Amino acid sequence: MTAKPPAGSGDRAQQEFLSEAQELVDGLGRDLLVLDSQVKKGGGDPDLLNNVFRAVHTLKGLSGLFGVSRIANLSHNLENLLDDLRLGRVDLSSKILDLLFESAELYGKLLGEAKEGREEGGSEVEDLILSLDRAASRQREPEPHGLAGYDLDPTLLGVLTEYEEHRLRTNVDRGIGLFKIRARMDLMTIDASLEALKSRAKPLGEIITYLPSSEGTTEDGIELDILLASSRPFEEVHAALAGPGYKIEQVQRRKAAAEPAAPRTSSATMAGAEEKEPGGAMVPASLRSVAQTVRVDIRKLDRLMNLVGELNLVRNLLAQLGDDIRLRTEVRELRGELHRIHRSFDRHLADLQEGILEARMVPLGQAFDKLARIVRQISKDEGKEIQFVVSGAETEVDKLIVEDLSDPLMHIVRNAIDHGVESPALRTTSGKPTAGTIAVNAFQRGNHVVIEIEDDGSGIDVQRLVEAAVASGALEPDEAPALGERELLHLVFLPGVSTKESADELSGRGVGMDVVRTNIARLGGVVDVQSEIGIGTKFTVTLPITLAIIQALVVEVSGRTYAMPLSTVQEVLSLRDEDVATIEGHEVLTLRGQTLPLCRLEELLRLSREAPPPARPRVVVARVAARRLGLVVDAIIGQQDIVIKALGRSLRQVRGFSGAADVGGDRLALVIDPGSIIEEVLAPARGELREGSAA
Amino acid sequence: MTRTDLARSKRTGDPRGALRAVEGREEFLAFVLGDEQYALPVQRVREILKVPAITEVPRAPGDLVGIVSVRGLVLAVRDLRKLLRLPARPPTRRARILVVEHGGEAIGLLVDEVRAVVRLLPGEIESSPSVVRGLDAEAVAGVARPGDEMLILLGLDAVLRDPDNS
Repeated sequence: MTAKPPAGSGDRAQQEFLSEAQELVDGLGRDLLVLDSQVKKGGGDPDLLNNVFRAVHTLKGLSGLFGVSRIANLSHNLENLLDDLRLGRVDLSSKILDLLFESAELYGKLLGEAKEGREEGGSEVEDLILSLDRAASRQREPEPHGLAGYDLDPTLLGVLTEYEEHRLRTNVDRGIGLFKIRARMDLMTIDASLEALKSRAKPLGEIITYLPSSEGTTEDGIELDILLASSRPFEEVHAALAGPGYKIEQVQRRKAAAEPAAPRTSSATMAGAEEKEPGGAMVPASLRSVAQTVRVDIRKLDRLMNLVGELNLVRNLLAQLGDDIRLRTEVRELRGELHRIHRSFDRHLADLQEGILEARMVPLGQAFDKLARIVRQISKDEGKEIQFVVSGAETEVDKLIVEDLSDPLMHIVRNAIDHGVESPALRTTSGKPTAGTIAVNAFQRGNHVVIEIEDDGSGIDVQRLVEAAVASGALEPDEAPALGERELLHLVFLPGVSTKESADELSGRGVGMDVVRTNIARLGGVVDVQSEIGIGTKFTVTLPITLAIIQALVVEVSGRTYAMPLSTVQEVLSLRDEDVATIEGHEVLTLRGQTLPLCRLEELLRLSREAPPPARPRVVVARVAARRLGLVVDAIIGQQDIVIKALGRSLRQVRGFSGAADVGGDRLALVIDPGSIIEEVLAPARGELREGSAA
Repeated sequence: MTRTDLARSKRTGDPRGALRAVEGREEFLAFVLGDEQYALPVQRVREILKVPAITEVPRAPGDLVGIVSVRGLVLAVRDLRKLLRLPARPPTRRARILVVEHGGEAIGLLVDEVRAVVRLLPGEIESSPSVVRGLDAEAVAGVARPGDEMLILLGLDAVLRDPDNS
């Protein structure tokens, strides 16, 4: 507990730190995944390793600044290992990659702790540092290299940095050809020219270094010597890079004979783990990231600024018109103009609102990247081979939804690996490829985003599901035959139901699919499941694109208009007086054999009757979690999409409402919060107590 | 008095000249509640609204008239008559909402009528609030008589102080 952020640094700075660190860690995980797949193919892009090194270096600096000593300590040791890796002192083995992945997960955990302001004892950092040390100390045998075999300018070799020399040796050892490009560049445009050259050279190979040449530097120009390693033939390199003032030559070998270089591939695909060593890596309990801030594409913000400018113009016009009307008596002709300006104002305002909502959108890929890491780790622990395929990662949803989506998705994927995909041996005997596939596919459908998580595993055994549901008491034995196929599969969402008998490590966490369904419902979404024995299982999650706009049911009570989130409305009934019974002084309705408590909103909200009571009131059946309540209203006006506005601090004690919304008409409508009304009505003792203290 | 005057008076050690230059006149917005005129410092009033259709908020504190939408934001409107414990009276066509800032939040205050901006010299403000009958001493920052009429200067933060939090 000695390490606390410096006094006075403030929550804001702390938030900034957490947000930036989280982004770095996320990026680290992404780079490691790509690196992992490259290493398996015998490659490894040095730029990626450099990215990882830079991220860890920045994390070290940041965490040191904020006094998060465990992160700083971990970063310091990682940095040393990464430096050895990029300088070629240590080989990038799969063992070391495992340690790097473990570090990324540990970072996530440490950041979570830092957010909650606690730093726990725990020896994870020290353990990992020890492993890192052990891995890094296994020095690589000095290898013979063929650098001397090249006709290179010794003055050039003399000024290479250690890293550049390492890269040069690595390329030469692999038998990759060297090219020297002498390029004349204008001092005014050297930055742009160099960047252009680099981007053209990148597909060909690797730029080892660029240095000013010993001759040819004039007042307005400079000559650069660029050393490029490429396995492509001279003609191709020449064709790609040739330009005015550029001289390209192949660096000749002194001795002849060299094996053809194996072409390096830099295409990155998501591949599952292939090693089968069990245990070791830790699986994080939550994938929710710590950061709450949204980093926004600057073009989106520019668009908002332009719209604000437009609105200013319109406002000025309106102000001018207001003055004109006050001065003149013949107002009629101005009315049309005022109307036009008003319409224009409304249009821009609608655009502005859309733009701001858009600024909150982030690609689902943020959640999917974390899934890929989890797949790698769990499949390894389970001794299963998994091919993880993602499509539609660019589909955008509200930042808050992406955050709350991480954990439910993780549980679905865990289930797919744990219960779905069979062991390699079993897969072979059933004629399937040894590697199982988990495919995540996202796409937009209208105002919703659909995410499908599909595996090619054994499918859900409905018979065993029924047995499990009966055993857990969630289902009566005689109920099962009445259920259709879809309803049977949906038993998987009941609490305490699992088809796997043993409480193994994964399902032993007490997180079932019922929690997944609840969490997704909280986001206004639904989850569905399809499965076929021996073929596989598909979970389909459907979510609203944004939480700020919700579908609402608009109702009327005593002449007032209220909105209710449609996601909490189960059904709407007509209220017949003869159906109402009274139990212990509370009105109830019997609905399909179940008792539904009733709440007359007019009485609960103590509204004075300003409209005649309706002949046939309606009952809106609201459901939050497992609790239901029938809200009695005068009439249903309709359904519409609403934007919820916060009520502000001065109204925070007012119960029963989550905000206000414009539902058309000349005044705001309050948005009823069914959760708090159910809480208030179904727990009357507490409600009265609060009321008594407020009066 | 200009900047140079101020500099000169400082240099010459004329304290009265400096005082006049620094303090000057303060601007107040005068408005009507019942039979009296009240005023708030102009810089505390963000804007003046005609009274739009107000949405009542069930089970809200008694001085809350309701909520209105001002450029997309929800504004809580409070009845200044009730806050000052004056007799209630339904708003007329001349009623206005003064949007003021309090505790980092915009709040609307319903008043009967807005009169004018009044400039007062510090010397014109009487600090003794004992003249004002029926008002909390804390709610009154002072009294001024720019013409024949009396102007009651309100202490906004005292008026809006949440009785539960104080």
